[in-house]
Amino acid sequence: MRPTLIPLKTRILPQKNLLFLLLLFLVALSFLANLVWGSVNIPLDFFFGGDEGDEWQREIHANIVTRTRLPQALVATGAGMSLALAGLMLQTLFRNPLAGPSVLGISSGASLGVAFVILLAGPQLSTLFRHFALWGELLVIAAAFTGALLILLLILGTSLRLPGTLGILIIGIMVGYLSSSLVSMLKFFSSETDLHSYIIWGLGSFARLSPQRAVIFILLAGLPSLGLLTLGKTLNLMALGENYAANLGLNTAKARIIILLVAGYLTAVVTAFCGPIAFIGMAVPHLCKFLLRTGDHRTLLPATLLLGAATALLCNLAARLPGMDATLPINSVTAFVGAPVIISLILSRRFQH
Amino acid sequence: MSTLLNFNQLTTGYLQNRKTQEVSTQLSALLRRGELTCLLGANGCGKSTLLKSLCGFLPPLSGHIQINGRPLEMLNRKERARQIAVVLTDRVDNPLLTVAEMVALGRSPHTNFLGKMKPADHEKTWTAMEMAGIAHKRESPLNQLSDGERQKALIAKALAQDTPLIVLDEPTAFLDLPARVSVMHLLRKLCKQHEKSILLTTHDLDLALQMADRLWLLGKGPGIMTGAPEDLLLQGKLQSLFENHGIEMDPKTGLFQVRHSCFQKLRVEGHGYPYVLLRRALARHGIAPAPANHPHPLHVKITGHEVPLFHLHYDETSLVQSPSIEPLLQKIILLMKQDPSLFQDHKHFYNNPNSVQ
Repeated sequence: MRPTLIPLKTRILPQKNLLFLLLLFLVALSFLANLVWGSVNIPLDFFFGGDEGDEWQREIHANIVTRTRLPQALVATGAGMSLALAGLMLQTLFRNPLAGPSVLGISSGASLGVAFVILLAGPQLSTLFRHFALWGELLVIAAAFTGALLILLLILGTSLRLPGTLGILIIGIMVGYLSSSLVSMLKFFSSETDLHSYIIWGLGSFARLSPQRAVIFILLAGLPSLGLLTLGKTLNLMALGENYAANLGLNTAKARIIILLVAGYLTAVVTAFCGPIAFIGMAVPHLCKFLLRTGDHRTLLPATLLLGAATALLCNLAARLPGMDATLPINSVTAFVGAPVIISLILSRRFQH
Repeated sequence: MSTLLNFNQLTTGYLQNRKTQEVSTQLSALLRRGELTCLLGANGCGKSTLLKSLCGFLPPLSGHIQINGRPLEMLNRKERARQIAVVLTDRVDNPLLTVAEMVALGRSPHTNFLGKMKPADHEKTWTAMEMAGIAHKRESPLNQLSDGERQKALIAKALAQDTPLIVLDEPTAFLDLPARVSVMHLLRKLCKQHEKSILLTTHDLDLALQMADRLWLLGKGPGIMTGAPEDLLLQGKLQSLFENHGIEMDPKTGLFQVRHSCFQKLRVEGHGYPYVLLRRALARHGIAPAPANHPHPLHVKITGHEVPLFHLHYDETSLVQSPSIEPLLQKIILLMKQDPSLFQDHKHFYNNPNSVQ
């Protein structure tokens, strides 16, 4: 008697469900830790309705949590899941383990947009910045988004003309170099204070957004990410290679554009609101494949989403240096998480063959 | 048997920058149900281009392809995916995907946008893996399969797709001989027992001659030659394809073999299997066996019944005596270096044309 495939699936499923539960728990735990730990540690009782401490103390804690820590945690969650999903989709599309949101040149495009605003228009805008800080901040977000979208449109345009994906990858990288070189020209001719604010932007941060903006960001980045969970079959087919995918009835040109558009959009939103965030998009999908040992994107997509959120939250926590009066730039922490993952991946591949 | 696929006056090629680049012209052929057809031809003669056109990857420059009585270009993606399944040489770059998961992807044209598998889809996936003989590896990730197993898994994926036609691009490339034979046996079984039509390209001439119901021959010129392998041999069409390429047809076996240019001769007395093998070893060094009545003093005698014994003699003097061919061959090579005249054709050796019959 042959066993049916259905028991085969159920045999794997409890394991997978357990992993998903663990991942969900990890996200919740790191979210809570982001609220609790920092330069001031907030007692857990505060969250669970304990009555310890005086009124004044509670006021301060409430302020810290709602005005800085909650928005930060929300932004980290949204950015982590968006970048990780974008990374997974691009790695599958380009069939290249080193692809990620940064290789398409989209974050470079955002940097270019911001460089134009801060460095070129800086002297003229400095009064505006001083008097209307809010508008300055919005201007930076708008500039980053515009730059990122322009590059995305350029890449989509070329993808319509080129067959295959290698060409798009190379053009993305070259466009990235070009915009970096434009940025360095702008840097060379700009004043020290402008340069400083540009560098601060380029370091990336989850802590820039006000509570209202954080909610807007979650809506812009998080909701589309949830919609992506339906792309599992499409990505599975694309991972077989475009010819096999086409033979199995997939419109590969359309699928390619959808993947590029969505991954590009997510990268653009995150970069506009948080600055360029390195390594999360590249490393989390690998971490996910390593943990789940599966190549099925219907499982990988939700797992990558959860792990991306958890990774960003933990990186944010580490960057905050709990108990100390200083913070690290987020990219210096993500690099310490991402680089070892990439290195171990390359080494393990080398040993496999 | 009924025709599944046919095309008439087809021109394959590429359209690049509004310029057409023709690869093959005036192609007409048909494919019957339940038959294994091999497409043969030298590298660069347009085999892959024809295959791409038949799979619908590349629209033909002119002419029409009909499948199941309908023009191929009239089918939408999903309909086409239910008529033709492919096994390509493309690398499947998803190392952690298991065999069962990949074979299940063959059900894609039959499932919804989310890829939801119904019980019938699981059933078909199972049957496909069993038919391809890969069900025991269903939970292995693709990177842990041998080349032969990977090829069978891909064939299972094509079977799960449940199409009347399966097209394979060089399914036996990179496989060792037992794996190649096993894949070809599998494909024959699918044709005969499950009424699949199979079209494959290969460079394995011998295997194609023995396994294919029909051959399609693609040459440098226009047109395509089709027919049963034996008919094509009788008409000399296969031979003409490989003319001047150092290959010849052995009329005794009907198979092709390497043609060596033999300028030296050596008298060999013997018969049977040891004689055939010695002749092959000598041919590799450019020596053709001369008949036993060849009057030259240097000669080889094969004696022994169960175990052959090879003797190399110069007149009556024994030079080498061995049950294996290698020592004999080494002595012959040495002699050939020292005195090539020993191996000259007797015409030149005796300088007497009349001694030849």
